[in-house]
Amino acid sequence: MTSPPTRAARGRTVLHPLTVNGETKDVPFLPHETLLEVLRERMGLTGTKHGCELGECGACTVLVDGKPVLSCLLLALNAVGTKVETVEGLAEGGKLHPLQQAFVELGAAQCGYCTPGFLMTAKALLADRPRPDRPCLKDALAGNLCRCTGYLKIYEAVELAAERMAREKPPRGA
Amino acid sequence: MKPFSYARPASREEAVRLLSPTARPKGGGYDLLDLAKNGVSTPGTMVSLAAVPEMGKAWTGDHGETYLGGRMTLADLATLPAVRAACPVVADAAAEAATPLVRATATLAGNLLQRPRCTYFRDPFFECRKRGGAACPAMEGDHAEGAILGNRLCCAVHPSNLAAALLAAGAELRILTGVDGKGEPTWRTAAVDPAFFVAPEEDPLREARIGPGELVFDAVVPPCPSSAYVEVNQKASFDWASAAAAVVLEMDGGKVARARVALGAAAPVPLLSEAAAAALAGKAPGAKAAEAAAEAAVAGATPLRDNAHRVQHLRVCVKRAVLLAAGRGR
Repeated sequence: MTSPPTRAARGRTVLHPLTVNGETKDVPFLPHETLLEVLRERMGLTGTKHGCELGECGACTVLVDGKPVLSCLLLALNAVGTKVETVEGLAEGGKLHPLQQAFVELGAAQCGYCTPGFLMTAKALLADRPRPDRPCLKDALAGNLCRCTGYLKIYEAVELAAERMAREKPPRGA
Repeated sequence: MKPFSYARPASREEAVRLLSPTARPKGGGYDLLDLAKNGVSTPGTMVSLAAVPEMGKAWTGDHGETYLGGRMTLADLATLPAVRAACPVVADAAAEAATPLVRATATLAGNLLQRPRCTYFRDPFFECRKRGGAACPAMEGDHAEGAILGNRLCCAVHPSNLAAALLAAGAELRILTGVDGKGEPTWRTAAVDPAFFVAPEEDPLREARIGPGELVFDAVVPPCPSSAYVEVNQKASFDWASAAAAVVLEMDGGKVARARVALGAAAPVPLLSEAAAAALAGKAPGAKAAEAAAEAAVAGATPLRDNAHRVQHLRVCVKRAVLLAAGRGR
């Protein structure tokens, strides 16, 4: 894994290696560009949404080394040397991720703007707690806002995905 | 954002040598980046502390004190069993801040030194005393979330949960001080006491006595198992406190030998309420004493046209924090 740069000069665009969804690319960007800006505007990965830009809405959530992070408040330079996952990396081989599938089936996406952020936060949660109870789920998703207020459907979709994922991958010793 | 340079030093000494009035330390970066995006202030250089590993840890000293690294995340402060056992007031305060997404990255030093969240301060369109203006537009404007104490010149409340908690706990900061990029950095300590914070009457442009070339390396918190932080919010999650209280009790045979009661989100700086502490001293910390402390804490409040509700919120916080702290001491 590449080491993060130790210096970057103001106003100077430099190629930096970024590993996004398993693929490492040299991407040109400036020191003050956020990961959100680089993903969307430099890499064309527009699935990650640009919401409040101040860390309040969660629409820009991506995973950095498996942890959910607000990409609007992370300098892209700080993502060098990490593994970034975006919503574009969820589906595999043309098959939706169980979370995406559950969101579709239960109507958990209304306008859809917050959905990528919810999906990424939920993915990290289920990796950590495969069968979260409702309070745990609500707490984990508290930083993702849905202006359509469709929270109940979102909770139900995450629970459905958790159930299906647990069935596909039974716990050790079962 | 305006462009800036970036540095990622590999040691605390190298970090502090890079600091200057225009080169600022960056932990999680939430407030620094927010301020830059709001157009309030943009440093010439962001000095990332990500490669200074010892700043992200907690450890226990020989006398039971807890050392909390300045770059520790709020999530770690909220969840580490050692922190919760030794100084629950700090763990409570960290757990109440923002959301899990923010807590995973935001840091102790960043939370402590964040600038006010007042809408007028964060919007350069408005004149604001905290940005060198001659007036406080919130006094006549929207001040529903404004201060109810110490609000003569400015009604922006101090936004830091941890400031109130560290003040109540009698914590001490260990600060690494640079010498304009030359020579060896030196250490100094600063008690988190009322003198550490700077009220608008003294200097509206800052909230804490920290120099531009200084780095908050860690906070040393004395053991305070009978302690609690309680805040009241309008929303259940991700809301700035409408009022907050941090209480530390030293018990002696079922009675309060000594109390420290810090008030958060009530004034432009966190306040230590001597009156509330006096109301608790020598008393059993039950509902009656807690109510007396709450009443003493809000005596002298000067609510503005639209924020009298915060006086009651503060009463509730003090009462609940006293009872919670007392329960933990049993």
